[in-house]
Amino acid sequence: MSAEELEARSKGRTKKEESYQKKRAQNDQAYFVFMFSRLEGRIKTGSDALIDEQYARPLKGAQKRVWDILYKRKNENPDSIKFMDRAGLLTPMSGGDFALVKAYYKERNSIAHGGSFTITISMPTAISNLKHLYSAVRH
Amino acid sequence: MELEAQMPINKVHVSKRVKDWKLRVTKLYKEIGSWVSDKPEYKMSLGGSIRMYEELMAKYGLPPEKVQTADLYKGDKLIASFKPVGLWVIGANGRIDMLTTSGSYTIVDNADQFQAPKWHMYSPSDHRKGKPFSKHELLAIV
Repeated sequence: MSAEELEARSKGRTKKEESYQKKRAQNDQAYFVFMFSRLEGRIKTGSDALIDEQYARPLKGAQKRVWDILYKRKNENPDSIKFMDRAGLLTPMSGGDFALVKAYYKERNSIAHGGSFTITISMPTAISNLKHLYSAVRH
Repeated sequence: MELEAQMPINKVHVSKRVKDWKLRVTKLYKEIGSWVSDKPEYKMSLGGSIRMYEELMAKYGLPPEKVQTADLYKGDKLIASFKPVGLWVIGANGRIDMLTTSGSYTIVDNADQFQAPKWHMYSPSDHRKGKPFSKHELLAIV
């Protein structure tokens, strides 16, 4: 597609050039959403496992009640635990990894709702970051 | 990761970053021009401008800007085109796409903001291993 875009540019076919440029951006978006979905799955699975594990622990008092509530919500209505809260169970909410998940989640949501990236994404950087996060949020 | 969180973000700051971005882009074009200056068959020329209006510019009420593109010719043939994609990039300080007949290369500035640029290039076939963007790398492609 790059060669076609270059050819359109060399011939001054602006609309065609823009059309190829748009297709390149759409490819980036599709690939990004695919990559993010892997992280999303990892966070859902990891947070579910953590909740199960904590629920089974012999905790007492308020600590037990927190995990009892999360366990109930996880089993009765999993979507009631927001994605970023799930991420917060696996990585400190004040840390850089959490901020990175949040930033990419915002982009994922923008695309999922029919928009495009709200900021520029460098796919090599995004892939490297998402791979790092995939390991970092391990339960 | 960009250091935006460590610096006060306001209209002046965002405006400075936009100016810095435009300057870094034009400096890179000049540098590329110097890389091929000893090869008479190559010619680097400025192309049209593209619109820049990023989220933070809108948020702080800055007007859209224009950023220059550039083209590299070998003889009469356009062999590479440089298109700035954006300044605010997660994990980098700006991205330029280099279109060639062999694919679209991503060039990102890995330096912190307001620092001397560290341009890295990623090939379309390998998004994992970037290389410093240099005369040697460019000429190996074109």
